[in-house]
Amino acid sequence: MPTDQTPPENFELLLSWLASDRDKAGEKYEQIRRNLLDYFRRREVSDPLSLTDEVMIRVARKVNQVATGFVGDPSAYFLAVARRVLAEWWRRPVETEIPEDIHVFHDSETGERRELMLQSLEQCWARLPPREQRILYRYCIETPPLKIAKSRELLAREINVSLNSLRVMTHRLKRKLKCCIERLTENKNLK
Amino acid sequence: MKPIIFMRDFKEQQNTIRQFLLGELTEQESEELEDLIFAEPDFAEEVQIVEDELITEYRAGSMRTEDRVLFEARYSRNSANQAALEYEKVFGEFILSKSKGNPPPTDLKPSELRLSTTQTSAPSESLKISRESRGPWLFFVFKTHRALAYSVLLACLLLSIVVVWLLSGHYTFQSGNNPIQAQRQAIEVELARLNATGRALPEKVVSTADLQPSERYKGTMARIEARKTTPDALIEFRLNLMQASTQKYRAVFLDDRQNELFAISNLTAQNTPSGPAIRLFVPTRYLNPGDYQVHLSVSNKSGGNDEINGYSFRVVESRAMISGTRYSSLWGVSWL
Repeated sequence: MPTDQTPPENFELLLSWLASDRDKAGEKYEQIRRNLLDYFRRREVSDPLSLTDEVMIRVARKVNQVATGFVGDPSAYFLAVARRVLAEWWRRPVETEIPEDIHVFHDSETGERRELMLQSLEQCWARLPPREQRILYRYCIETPPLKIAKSRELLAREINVSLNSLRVMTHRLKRKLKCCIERLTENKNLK
Repeated sequence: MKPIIFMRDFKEQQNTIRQFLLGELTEQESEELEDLIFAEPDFAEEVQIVEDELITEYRAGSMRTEDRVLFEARYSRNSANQAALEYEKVFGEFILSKSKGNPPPTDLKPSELRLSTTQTSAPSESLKISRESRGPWLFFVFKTHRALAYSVLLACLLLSIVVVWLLSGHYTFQSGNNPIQAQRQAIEVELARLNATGRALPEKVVSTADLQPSERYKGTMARIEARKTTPDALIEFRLNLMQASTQKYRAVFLDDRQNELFAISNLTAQNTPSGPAIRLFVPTRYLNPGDYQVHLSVSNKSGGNDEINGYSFRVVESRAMISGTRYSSLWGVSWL
């Protein structure tokens, strides 16, 4: 939720602008947020999260002026604001000296982070139903002498879906795992 | 490049997304594609999938050199992109550890498993697993007398096929006993009967999909929501035409990999309030969730068929089916 001096009623208005049903509005909000994160990351922004928050805050601040007269999908408005935020970010002065608070990851820290990620992955994997574990495992594993494409074709046939549906299905499973890991690592970092 | 909105073929779409991710599109084309990502959740998901596949390909070392250069330029100089790479690496290691330790139950032998995503990063590991399972002598034979070993293997394989064939009682050669071919023929006979009159029992039709030619509708697809129905439930397709002909039409249904599923021949155009169209009926049980194309052709004077239109539609699993709740209504059609 945008927090930087945004009145709470603006956030409510923002949700109702996205969809009349609150659950659907929540889903739409998450979808836009995910798209913004990907947008900034693909545009090679080093900290996509900050710029995503910036877009959310700006839209929430202006939502009472924009929502009433806006025609079309609100996502387009978020993208327009994101483009403006990105242009500003590109124009920002570039630091020539290394700031004192810069954090350099040492090998031990990278190893710890990896270890933490593996532990979280193990926990999140255990939460997946066995059928989903089986599908994801078999999708990612090559079984010689079969090539990976052939293994996936066989798997798709076994569970009676098209290859493209299997592709989407496994992508969603991987994303589910990733979200779970993000939540777990956030909690562990907070402790 | 064609304008992004005219992408109508799945391969073409994936190729454009790939170019976008590798930074090969112009700024205008990239912006057009970003507009589409924000407007279409399904398209946004497709971009994520292609990006995951690109990372996997990079890690497996199977990427073309020029793509690898572009990929590294984009993904190695940005910490946020590096995090995405790191996650894929850890996930790959995790799956590999599952194949060694306690894999989820599958019909496959765990000792023969090898991670597809880590061919480059851990080649020695994967090799070690397969070597151990086959034994050193077999490995030696394959290494030193490869041609001989493969010939013997092929001969054994052929021999076992003949034995199985004889044991199963197929002493006489029968043409057309390919089960897939036979299944397709059976479906086509049923469809021909169903579409012979151009009419079906209205109570059996659970949904109507009004399909527009892909060219005219800029590649948009009708989305058909699959929900549980009775086994004989039908879906009615209306293939809209620019102009009608008195000739007979033929519609071929293809899956997302351009495999022909079945064809319906001897179709005639009908006049409808929205213009000429071909009406045809397909039982819902033949259309599992997935992407489909319909190629419509008209018979020519030389006895062949000239393709005139292409149509696309997607059958998606309904939310009710995914969440396992009780199905209340039948099939529904919307547009992507």
